Amino acid sequence: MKRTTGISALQFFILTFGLTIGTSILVTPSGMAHIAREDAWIASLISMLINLLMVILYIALARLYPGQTLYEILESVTGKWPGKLLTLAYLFYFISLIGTLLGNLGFFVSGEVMPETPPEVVQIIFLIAAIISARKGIIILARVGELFFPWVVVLLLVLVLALIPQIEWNYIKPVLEDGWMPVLHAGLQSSIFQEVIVLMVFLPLVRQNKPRERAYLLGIAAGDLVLSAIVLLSVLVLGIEQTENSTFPAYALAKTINIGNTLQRVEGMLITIWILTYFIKISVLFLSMLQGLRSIFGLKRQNHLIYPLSALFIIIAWNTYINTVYVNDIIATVWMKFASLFLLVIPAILYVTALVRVKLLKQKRPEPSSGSRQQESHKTP
Amino acid sequence: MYTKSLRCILLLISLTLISGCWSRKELNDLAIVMALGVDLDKDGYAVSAQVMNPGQAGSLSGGSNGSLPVVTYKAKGTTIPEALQRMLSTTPRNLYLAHVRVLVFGEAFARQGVGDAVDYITRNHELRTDFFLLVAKHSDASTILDVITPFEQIPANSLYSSILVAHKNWAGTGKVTLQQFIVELERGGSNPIMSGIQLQGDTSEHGSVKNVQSVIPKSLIKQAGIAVFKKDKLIGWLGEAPSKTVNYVLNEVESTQGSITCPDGGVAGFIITNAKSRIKISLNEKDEPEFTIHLKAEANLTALNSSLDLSQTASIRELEQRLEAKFNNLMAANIRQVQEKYDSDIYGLGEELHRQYPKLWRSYRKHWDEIFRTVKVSVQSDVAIRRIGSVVQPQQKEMEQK
Repeated sequence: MKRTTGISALQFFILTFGLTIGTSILVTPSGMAHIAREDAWIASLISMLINLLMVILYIALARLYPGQTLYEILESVTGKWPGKLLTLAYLFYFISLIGTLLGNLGFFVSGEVMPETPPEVVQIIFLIAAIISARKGIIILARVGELFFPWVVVLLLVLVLALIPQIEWNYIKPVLEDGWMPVLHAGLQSSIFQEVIVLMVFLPLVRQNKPRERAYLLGIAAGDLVLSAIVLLSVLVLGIEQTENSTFPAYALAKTINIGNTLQRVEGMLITIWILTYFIKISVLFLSMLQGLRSIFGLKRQNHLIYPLSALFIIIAWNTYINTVYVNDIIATVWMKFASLFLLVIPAILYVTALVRVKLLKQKRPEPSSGSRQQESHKTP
Repeated sequence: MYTKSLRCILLLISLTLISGCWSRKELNDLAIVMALGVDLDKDGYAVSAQVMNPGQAGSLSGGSNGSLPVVTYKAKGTTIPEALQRMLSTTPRNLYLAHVRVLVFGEAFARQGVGDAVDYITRNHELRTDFFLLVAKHSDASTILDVITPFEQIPANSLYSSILVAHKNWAGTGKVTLQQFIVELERGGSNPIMSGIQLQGDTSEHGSVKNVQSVIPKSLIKQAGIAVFKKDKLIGWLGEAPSKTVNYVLNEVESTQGSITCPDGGVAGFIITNAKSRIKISLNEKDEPEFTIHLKAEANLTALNSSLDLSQTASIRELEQRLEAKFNNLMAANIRQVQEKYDSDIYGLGEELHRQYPKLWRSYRKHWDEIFRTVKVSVQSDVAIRRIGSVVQPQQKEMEQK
């Protein structure tokens, strides 16, 4: 059997796609409809544009330091110690992200699907799956993604097609009633929930150079397009009032499917899509955390960190996700500024600094050797 | 290799063994609620639940112990879930709400506002949003849920299918699901409606099998037109013709019957097969909106008690014009009546204004109900007679010729 190292461009595309859809598919329509009303779908397209710009920025940054992971770039640009500090800040961001993700999972499953199962059980079981995937490494995860992808696509297609008969075009009229401001606002806000910067950690692992950048861009574009479709359908089928007032609008949307009284009660499809992409999202975050810790402390192995980290995740999940209202409040007031710091502000500053250092000061480019070093560590034993 | 495949098999076996036993619900532990009724009570809500009795479903005359296919339980509480929990003191099984077909509100309760009940229903994850909402005209919801119906074993199913049939072929009733109700309730430019239901006949024995043990059932459940809501409060009832008008405007008519008088004084009956309406808005010189409802309908001739010469295209045209005139006048009159009597925009005119003139709507948004009362609405109908049935000339004319 031929053992390949590294990730193929297609696998990287799937990872980006899964990362974009995971969790967002459930909650995005609500916030969009709240701010942009009938124009939520325009807002989601705008959010796609913003996300594409973000990814272009990341790619530009990565091009300046080929073969380096996000953490290595941080150190290369700002120097050893400030770089480590910045890495710690990113790790803090990722860890709070995982906490909220796990919390979200618990609340959704126990609130809507299995009310008698305590959220803690759901979270722990899911974490066990994530632990396994973290032990196996990113390459295995990428292959798992490849296995999941056809199912996600097929289920999404069925979901969208099954909803078409219920579309009420009147629900998205009038277009741009309050001008562009609310639309831009909603677009910007939802673009901040796409944490694709995480994939900068794994970008050097992708074998081919050009295709990986294309995969990165296409992945986020495809993911955001799916989200836009879900937002559009939510508004077209449920109307803005219900979309805005549902805790999980996409789930409410899937519940309405009814074709000739035979094809109905198929909300399980949406849960499946969500669980599969969610798994990708949480595993990618988990692995990037491990990478980050390794990079800060210069560790040789990372697997012994998995269990203490998982315990930490669970504790964070239980203490941050107190209830849906609390989390929504935090997201509305704090999270956007907090996350945009890591997704936009720091990368932009880094890019400008890096440009100055690389282009103007003609600093010697570091050799792209770290990439291959990394691949070895990812080989399964 | 051997251990690996063994491990895989063990994993697969454990998959079948450990899955899905946590919150399992066995069918014989559930009481499947088919219909819910909500009434006003002095300390909150009186809830009645019509529960399927699976052992007896399939035999109306009673099974081994002679009990009926459904049981209606009643309980009171300060909130609906509390009443449902209290009901457990009388039911042998847990109530399961996912299969509710209809939700009936008592008239007194509906007049006081159904918002809180709707809140509970949408908040509950077990209930879906695809069942029908009904108001019990002049009675309590619990009375409606007590009736034993002919044909259908389970009265809730009887209610459910009669709504569907009546809506499809008669159009004088509403077919309002929870989802539609919420959308129309929460939008600024429309008010919701609900379908009414009424007990007809001698109601002394409506809850026992005796009710259906005669050719003419002693009491029947009857569709009772459309209930007009203002926000979440019931404010009045519409008769047959105004109910049809509402359905025409909301584009909910699939087919219905109608009649007009012929030029010679006879009557012509029609079935309307295809009706599509569109609301057009024009602004008058004072920049106020004026609404025109354009109705395009297709009709088939079903009965003719007159001596009209049907072989002439002119007489078909004549009939069409009379139908159009009737539509225009009757619908406009019905709409005006709702405007004056209830000032509740059940036609969704405000929402249409919102879509077509968003800027103008902004100045009306806050006090649309007052504006709606005086706004000018006219009807422009366009009827095409497609088929006249299997014979050409009416019997009366045939007889005259002899």
